[in-house]
Amino acid sequence: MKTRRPAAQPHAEVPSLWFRFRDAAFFAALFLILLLRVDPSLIHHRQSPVFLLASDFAAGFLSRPGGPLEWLSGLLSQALFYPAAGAALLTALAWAAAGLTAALIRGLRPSTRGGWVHLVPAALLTGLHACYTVPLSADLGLLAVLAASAAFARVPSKWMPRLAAYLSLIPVLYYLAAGFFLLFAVFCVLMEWVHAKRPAAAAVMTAAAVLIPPAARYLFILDPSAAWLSLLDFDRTAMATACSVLLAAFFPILLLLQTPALNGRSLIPERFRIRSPRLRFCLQTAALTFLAAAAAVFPIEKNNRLVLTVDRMARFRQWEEILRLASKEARPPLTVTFQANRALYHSGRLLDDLFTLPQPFGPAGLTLPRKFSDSAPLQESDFCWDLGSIDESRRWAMEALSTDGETPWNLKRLSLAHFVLGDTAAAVVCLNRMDRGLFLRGDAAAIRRMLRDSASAEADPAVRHGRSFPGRTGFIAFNGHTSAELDSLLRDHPDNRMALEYRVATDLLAGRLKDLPDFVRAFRGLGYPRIPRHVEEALVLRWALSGEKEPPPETRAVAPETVRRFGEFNRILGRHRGDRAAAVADLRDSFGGTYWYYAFSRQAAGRRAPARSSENRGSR
Amino acid sequence: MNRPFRYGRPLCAAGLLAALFLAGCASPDPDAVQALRRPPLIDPDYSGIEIPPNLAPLNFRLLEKAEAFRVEAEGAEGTGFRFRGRGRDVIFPAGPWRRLLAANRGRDVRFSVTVLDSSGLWRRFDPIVNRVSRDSIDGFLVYRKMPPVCVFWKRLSVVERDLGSFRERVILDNRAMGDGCFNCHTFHGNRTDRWLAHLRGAPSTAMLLTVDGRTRLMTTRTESVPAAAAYASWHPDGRTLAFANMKVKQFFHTAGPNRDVYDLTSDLAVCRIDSAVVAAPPEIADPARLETYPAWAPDGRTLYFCSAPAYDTTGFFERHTYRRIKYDLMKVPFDPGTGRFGRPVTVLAAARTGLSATHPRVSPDGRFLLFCLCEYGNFSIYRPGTDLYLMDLETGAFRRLECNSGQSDSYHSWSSGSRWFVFSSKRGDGVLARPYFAHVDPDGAVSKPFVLPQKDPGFYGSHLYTFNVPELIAEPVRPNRKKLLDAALDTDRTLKSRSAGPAPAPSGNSAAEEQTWRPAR
Repeated sequence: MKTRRPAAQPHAEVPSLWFRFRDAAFFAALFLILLLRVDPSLIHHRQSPVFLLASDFAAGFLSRPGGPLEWLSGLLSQALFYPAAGAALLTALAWAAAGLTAALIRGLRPSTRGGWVHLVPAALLTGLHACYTVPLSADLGLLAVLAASAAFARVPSKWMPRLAAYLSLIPVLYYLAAGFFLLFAVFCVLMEWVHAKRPAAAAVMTAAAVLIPPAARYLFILDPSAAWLSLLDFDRTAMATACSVLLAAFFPILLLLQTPALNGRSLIPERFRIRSPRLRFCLQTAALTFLAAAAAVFPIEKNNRLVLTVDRMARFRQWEEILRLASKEARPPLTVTFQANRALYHSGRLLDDLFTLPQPFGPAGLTLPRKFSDSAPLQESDFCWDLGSIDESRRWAMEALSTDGETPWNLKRLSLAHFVLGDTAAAVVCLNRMDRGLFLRGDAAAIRRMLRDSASAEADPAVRHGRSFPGRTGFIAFNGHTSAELDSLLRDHPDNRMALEYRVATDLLAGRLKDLPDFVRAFRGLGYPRIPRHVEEALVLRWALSGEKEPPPETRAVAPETVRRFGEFNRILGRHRGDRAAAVADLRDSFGGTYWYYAFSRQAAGRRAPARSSENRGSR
Repeated sequence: MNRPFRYGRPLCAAGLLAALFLAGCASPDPDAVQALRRPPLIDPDYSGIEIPPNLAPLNFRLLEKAEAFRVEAEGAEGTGFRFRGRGRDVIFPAGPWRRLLAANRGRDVRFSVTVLDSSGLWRRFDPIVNRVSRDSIDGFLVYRKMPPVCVFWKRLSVVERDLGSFRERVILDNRAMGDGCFNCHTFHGNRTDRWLAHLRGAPSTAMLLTVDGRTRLMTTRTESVPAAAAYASWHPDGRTLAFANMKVKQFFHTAGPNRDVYDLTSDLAVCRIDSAVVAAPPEIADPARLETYPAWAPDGRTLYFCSAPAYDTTGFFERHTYRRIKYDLMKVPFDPGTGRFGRPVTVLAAARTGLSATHPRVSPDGRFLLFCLCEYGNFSIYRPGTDLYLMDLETGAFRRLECNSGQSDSYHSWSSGSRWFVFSSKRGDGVLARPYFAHVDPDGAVSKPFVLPQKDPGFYGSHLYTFNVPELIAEPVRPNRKKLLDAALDTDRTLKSRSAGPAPAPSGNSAAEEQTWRPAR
């Protein structure tokens, strides 16, 4: 005989198609949010997941609890490189979480159909991924817990089968998902205690759960925190912690709400209940939509996303896009300024447009500050490669290998650096490793071609650039790219344009104008068609500060327009005698992108400004 | 449509494939085999070498065009065997290999390789001839496995390899130890009842000391020995340790060999481990000199070490002072009864060789001293010109070994029988260090070295980890990994050393200490 469905079930008066449509719309929205707002390729860029089709690689994962899921996470994460595939994957995982949550709810209350609660974990998972740092192992761990919990909930409610199911599931779950087993244990214990009213069975289950990590410590040789919390310590940012706590709390709360004491009764007081199932459906849907959007939007920290976006663009050498993004920022993070300045150089505009972008006072945004390079070694390697310092580029790539593992970018950089430096055998080791990657065989084949055929190597712009400035006398690098280090690069190769332009930019940003005549001669020597704009501005400023009536020889080549504009700048400055703040505001519109404005606003902010040339002596 | 035999084509195809397979596996017709008057090219190069009789199979990859191969292993005692395989990876069966070596101690063994090329032609190469040594090698090799670390480390492990098989066992793994660093595992007389490793950072900076199977942490820092212990050496009595304590600095060149290291300060000290008393007597802790790399002679009456004059740090880099730091090879007499040192004596002055001496290690029979000479400094693994030298301690004569390469050949360890040693060499690619073995006969003649065999012959071609500090031991490491981890994490039980005397002035230069190697963020 069929049991009659309770009247409270929403689907009794709302067509089931509506629920299906709502679920489909919800996941479509999640897909779009992930694709357009979160951008899975940024998750990939942030995490650089490593995956190799190699037995030694897999063996490292299989020998520890949680390793199998981490291995699978590494495999699936490769899809995040492509935004649409990544969004589809994350949506599919969220969909699986919703489906398993629905199955779990049905396991607790077989009469339950429809509803919206099962979609909450999907939204929270999306929120977690909007933090960029949470690996896919979090999704997979949750799915494993949900599958085990749903299976457990369907076991006949007698203590023996339940205990047997629990004891057989929990070690498997622990091996697969490590720390996630705790969620399953809490769920099962609550189920036995609150639902089935069998505190003794709950106590046995608790004891079994408590015994597993120490046993694993012995079997797998783990430290205590790894034995208990492996795979759970994925992120410590506030938003990720909030999302994961909500996610972890969701299932026990769900279970408690489904206790027999509450079964069939609503927690909402009678007078506040919405009578119309259709209206209730609509409101639930609206709340769900809001939840999904909030989960995806709130966790995104704007600067974090900007840094990742710009950094990824720099990896793909999308210089114009970087400049477009950076120009919209009034106070970009230092790492964005660094990449934007790099973009300016590669666009041939560093000394013409440096001050059109917001610059910190001093050369801090010109190179990657030490505290950043320590945690972003591959970016430092990129910059050293640009500068033609290939030994240093390789060194930083080795740091990246040590820190982040055998990521595609690390392997590619290392193999190229070894190749350029003539360490062919070392390059081949990297290439053989690249062959084991999912998407790296093409790159490896291209570099192998270069190894065989010197003409194809010479045709490659990266290799050609790398070979342009072989280290001759060299110098000792202290990770600062200071003026002295740039001078050393220039001593070896006076034709190193990037070293020259960065050297000039360093002086401009530091307010040092003493060496400008030398730089002008260097520009001429390298065939620059004209003196770059900011250098002209600095030359005029230097002349003005010198108090000489006649311009020095190197200043005579400055375009008359620049001299005229400097006069205008001075006139506006003169109008605000003494009131620096007002002068800065007045000058911003007409001269905001000039070196004069930078130097004056720097002085107004109480920093060292360009001084008379005699005072600048010895500043190098 | 009526198709009476619709599986005909697939069956034919399968039959053809099977026939081809069988043809490939079949023994070549002797008349149809083309003889090539040269041995095959193989990687790793396991030809013309001396093999320890207790070593795992020397699997190799044929660097020849081959669809299939056939190998005949021949020994003098008729213990040969033959096997065949597809592709180019020659993987010997373990049982016959063991029997072959056991039955041919002191004799040559020949490996005749015949390959089937893509045109279906069998070609036979001249045999690869190796000699099975009469002398066994210690059964285990312990090394640190890590990426080529410059400043930042993340994953490190100390691993024990059974040399009779391909079994690897992790001894220490920093993943379970707060991502800390460890280095310089040092054993007492190639045995594991007494051994140590130095921990850095996490769980603590201390020595993980195992004595008679029991392990605990011990710090050697006292007022007289301010820096943590490194480069230790066990006195033959098993109760006294000599170690270096120094401040290390690392820097990088932008041309040529990239990484470089120097010691800002460095002294030697001795520690009586049963009483936890540390002393730094002036004979081995001279304020005017930088002493490092202690190594006891097997009789326990001499301590070998390296020493360089302290230098002026003014303009250290501008004047390239670091290039002028060259270490002499020294020895100092020691009286085990009183625990007193005599006057240090120069064994080999840097002025004589123009090179810097590092890593002295005396063979267990006391006959030979194996050491490194490099261009300058004491971090020889970073200097590509580093070579191994052997000194006959009876005559004082020394020579550069024939087993050296154009890359760094450095850190070495003797087998307990004094007939084998292992060393770190970067000869493969100039970047990654691999363990190589060489045999030394009683007259000091050294055989062609060969790399540690792996089950996968292509292992070294795609492995980006470096094998650091290889140490030969005669028995498996004790205690087990779990007990070692528990001891490493039990920082509350750390044994603190006390000083035996007043604090001497530290050798070298006192400067603000910056951590040279750091955990990755």
